[in-house]
Formats: sequence, C-alpha cells, structure tokens
Amino acid sequence: MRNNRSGYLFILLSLAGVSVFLMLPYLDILLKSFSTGNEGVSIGLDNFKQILQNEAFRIATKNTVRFIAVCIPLLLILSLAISIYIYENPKLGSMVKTSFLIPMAIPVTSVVLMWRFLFDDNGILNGILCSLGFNTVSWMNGSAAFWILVGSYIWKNLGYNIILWLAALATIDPQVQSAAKLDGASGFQRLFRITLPSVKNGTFIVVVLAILNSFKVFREAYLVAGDYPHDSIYLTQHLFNNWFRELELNKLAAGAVLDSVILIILILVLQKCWKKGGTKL
Amino acid sequence: MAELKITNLCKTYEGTVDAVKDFNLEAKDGEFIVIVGPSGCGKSTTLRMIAGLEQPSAGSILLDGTSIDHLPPQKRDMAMIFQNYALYENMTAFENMAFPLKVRGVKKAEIASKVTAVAETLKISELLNRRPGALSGGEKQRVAMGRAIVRQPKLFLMDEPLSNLDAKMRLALREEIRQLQRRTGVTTIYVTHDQGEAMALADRVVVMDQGRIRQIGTPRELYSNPGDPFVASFFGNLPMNLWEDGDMICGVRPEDISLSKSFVQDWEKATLLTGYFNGMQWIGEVRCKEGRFTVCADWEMKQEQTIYMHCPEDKIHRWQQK
Repeated sequence: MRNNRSGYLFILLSLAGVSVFLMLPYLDILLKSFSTGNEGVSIGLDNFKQILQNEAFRIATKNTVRFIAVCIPLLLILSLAISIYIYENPKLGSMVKTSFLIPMAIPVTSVVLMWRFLFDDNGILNGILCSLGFNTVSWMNGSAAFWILVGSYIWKNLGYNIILWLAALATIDPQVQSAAKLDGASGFQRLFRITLPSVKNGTFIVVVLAILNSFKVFREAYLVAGDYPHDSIYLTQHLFNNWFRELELNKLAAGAVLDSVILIILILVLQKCWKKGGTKL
Repeated sequence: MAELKITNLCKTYEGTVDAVKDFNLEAKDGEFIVIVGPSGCGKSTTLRMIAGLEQPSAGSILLDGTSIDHLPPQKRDMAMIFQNYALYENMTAFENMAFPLKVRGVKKAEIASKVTAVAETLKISELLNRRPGALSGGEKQRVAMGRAIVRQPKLFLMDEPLSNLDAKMRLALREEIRQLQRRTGVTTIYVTHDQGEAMALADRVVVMDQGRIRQIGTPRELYSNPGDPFVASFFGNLPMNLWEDGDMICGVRPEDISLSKSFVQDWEKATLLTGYFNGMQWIGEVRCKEGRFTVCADWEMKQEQTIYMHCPEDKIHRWQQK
C-alpha cells in the first residue's frame, strides 16, 4: 500500500504536466468541436459535416495518409534490414551506427537550407541537369515534391530506427544464435526462425514512434514551401495551421478530434495485432 | 561416432596475451574428455573453436581424419549444450527439440516420433508443450540435452552445463549426462571449472591454465601423479598442502597424513587452529614447521588441541622449482 502511494508521488509531476498541457486542452477542443464561435453554443455534428465536405481537408487527409502508408513500411523494412546487417557483422562497429545518426543531429533549418540549394528552380540539381543538356524540373512545385518529402523523412529517421532495432536485437542471447548455428540452421533459417521472432515484441513501439515522427516532416515542408505548398504535400498540419491563422477554431477543433480518434484507433488496432501475435508466439 | 584430433591450436586476440596456446588433443571414438581449469584459462575459447564459433589463429582440427577448419558451425555436425541453456524462447520444448531436425528437412512424422522418444528417456514428456519461460533450470537443461541428442551428432560439446543449477540438481543431471554419453557413445568434449565434475565424468581430463595444457590424464592419474603443483592443488576435495624445500616444491594430500591425539614416537607435534565437521569427517587447520596444513580425521577436532602427525615418505610429491 505504501509502495503504491510513493508510486503515485513519482508520476505526480509528469501527470500534472500532461494534464495541464495535453488533457485539459484536449477536453476544451472536444467541447469546441461540437459548438460554434467562442461562446460554446452547441450545434451537434455540424462542424464535422462541414470539414468532411471541405476540399482542403480531403486533400490534406489523403496526402497525410498516403505519406504514412508509403513512409512507414519503407522506413521499417529499410532500417530493419540495415540493423540486421550491422548485427550480423559486429566488426562494422560504431562508426557505421554513428554515421546513420548524423541526420538526426542536423537542425531543421539547416536541412531546409540544403533543400533550397538542391531543389530550387535555379538550384544545384537543376544546374546539373542543365549542364547535361536536360530540361530543368520544378522539384518543389510538382508531384516530385511528395517523393522529396518521403526521402527527407527516411533520411532523417533511418538512424533513429536502426538504433531502436539494434536495441531489440541486442536482447537476443548470443548463445541462442550459437546454438542455432550448431543445430544446423542456415543464415536465412536463423533470420526467420530466431532473429525476427525475437524482435517482434519491439516492433510495436518502433511502428508507433515512426508514425508519430512522420507528423514532424511538416516542419520541413512548411519551411521550404510555406503555407500553400504543392497539392501533393499539402498535409493536415498545413490545413490546421491555416485554419488557426484564419481563426476557424471550431473547424480546427473538429479536425483535431477526428485526427486523434483515427490515431487512437490505429494504435489500438496495432496493439491488438501484437497481443494476438504474442499469444500465438 | 567420431575421432577428434586437434593440433597446435592457438587463439590470440589483438593486443592481448594468448588465450589458447599450442593445444594438442586426440579424442578417441566415444571418449568423454573434460577440459578443466580456472576461469579465463582458455577452456571455453577452445570449445568454441572446436564448434567453429570462433576462428583459430593457428592450428588445425580434424574430425575422423578430415579437416573441418574451413567449415562453418552449421556444417560441422556437432551439438552443443550451454551454461545458460540457450533455448529458443519463442518455441515450446517440443519445437526446441525438433529444431535441428526441422532445419534439415526431416519429415514431420519422423520428427514427432524421434522427439517423443528422446523426451521419454529424459523424463520430460509432460513438459513438451511448455515454453522455456515456464520451465525450471534443470528442466531447461534437460530440454537442451534433448535438442542435442535428437539427431546423432558426431560430437557433443558441453560448456559448463551444470554451473547454473543448484547442488542437488547438479548431481542428478551429472549422472544423467554420464549415462546418456555412455548409452549414445558420442564423443564428448565437456568444459568445467569444477574438478569434482571433471573427476566424476571424464575418461580423460585436460587441465588448462593461462591458455596452456598443464596435463592430460585419467582422473586417477591426475590425482596420484600430478605433473606440477598447479595440477596437484587443483584436484582433490581438500586442497593439497604445499611447501618449499630447497629448490623443490613438495606436496602432500590431507588424506595421506596420519593423525594421532596421543604422543607417538618420531611424529611431528602440532596445534590445531580450527576444526569443523563437513558431513563425512573432521577437517582441521594446523600450524607445523612446514607452514599451515589442512588435515582430516574421523574424530572430533577442537581448537587449541595438540595432535601428532606423520606422513609416509612415498606419499610426498616433489617437483623441481622453475
């Protein structure tokens, strides 16, 4: 009993922070999403109907979903493959690991500056294309923008995910790998029967973190292309930003609630998947 | 079912001393070899080199007359048992034991019959559906043994398989390992730091210290004719009493010293410093003119007691000091 009480004491501080800055504002948003103006006159689901018919909301949602659907599997598979390669070749050492982490340490503004050098209409890439006799490409004002954003996300998050996977791989007892080798398992058999099943439990947290991090690419997109970028990289965050500036607080609230519900459902589904996999294991 | 021949095996780690130096051993078909030595003596490294888990710096290993130096572990046809069991946590006991057969593409029905048969001999039939997490240490090691014998490997390698178990389980499993090896007739290399285990299990014992072999022999030979003071003091339940005599090192086992509570002509007088009962006999520490000695007898030893001791000349071991 006493242990329980001191346990609560330990979480008190962060609980207070989370309540003041996250939970209470969320409740406020929840109320606003069902009302009009700042007065709080209840109008039921009107806000939701309105934003679901909104063209900008549709484009933004579509882009965001597409971005996550492309990036997350790509990032997970790429980082897992690289981390398994590092795990199987320990002689590569920390040099390789560190080099993958460098993008994380570069501030967003520097990245954006680099983008401008590279992808501007008169930038380095177009300069190269020009000197080779090709037509220049309007990188940031075409569908290429989406893939540039994808590349930037992968580039920035790859190292972090590799470290997470390596942490999961490090929990495998090296003697178990030795035992599998002596039992006659080939490299592939060890990968699919020993290594991958062992990191399965770590996958959930890696996926959730990757999804949450995917929302951060907005910073790059915003700093490069401003409030109204090309249609292919107009994300929900752009929309919310613009609504905020135009004081469309009730639309904003409804959109936020909708997004949070989708995210919560997504996480619950993921959790359920892993729990089921866990018992089957 | 194999003969193992190891010549001049060496392992040097970069920038450190030799972990293993000039290891030579010939194990006959069906022989039970125990490599014993203090921790860090290179015995586990030697075993891992035989398994192919570690690359030797020099030397060669022959299995049935063919070199296996270039073969990866999975092609060497050896089975290994580890100190921490090294079971596959995500598989049941049955699946663990089936694994070596499964990766070889053995048919399901054959796997099932083999695993059940092995489980029966190891008395773990009831545990087959459990995962390692739900097994005790002794049960885990039984499953690991089952995984090793379910296919008939050319060689058993055992790396301190009993060290994580409690004393009672250690004795029980030690006996089972011995019977298992006799029954299957598989040549076995067993590594331990426990001289008692080495004595109880081995046909021949290899004593290692600081990367080198000190002596190879049957348990009896090592006990009665130790080649140097290190081997002498390593074997025996009680430590051998050692002292210097000129340029010789002398040693006598506590059990070879005769003791008397009353005066005997020409016997040395000594005073007991401590005495305790170990369950079989009384063990004492005495101070005598050669130094501090351990002695034993079947009568009660008390502190401060005066005793008379004697050691027949032929029981004293002598080695030239280096």
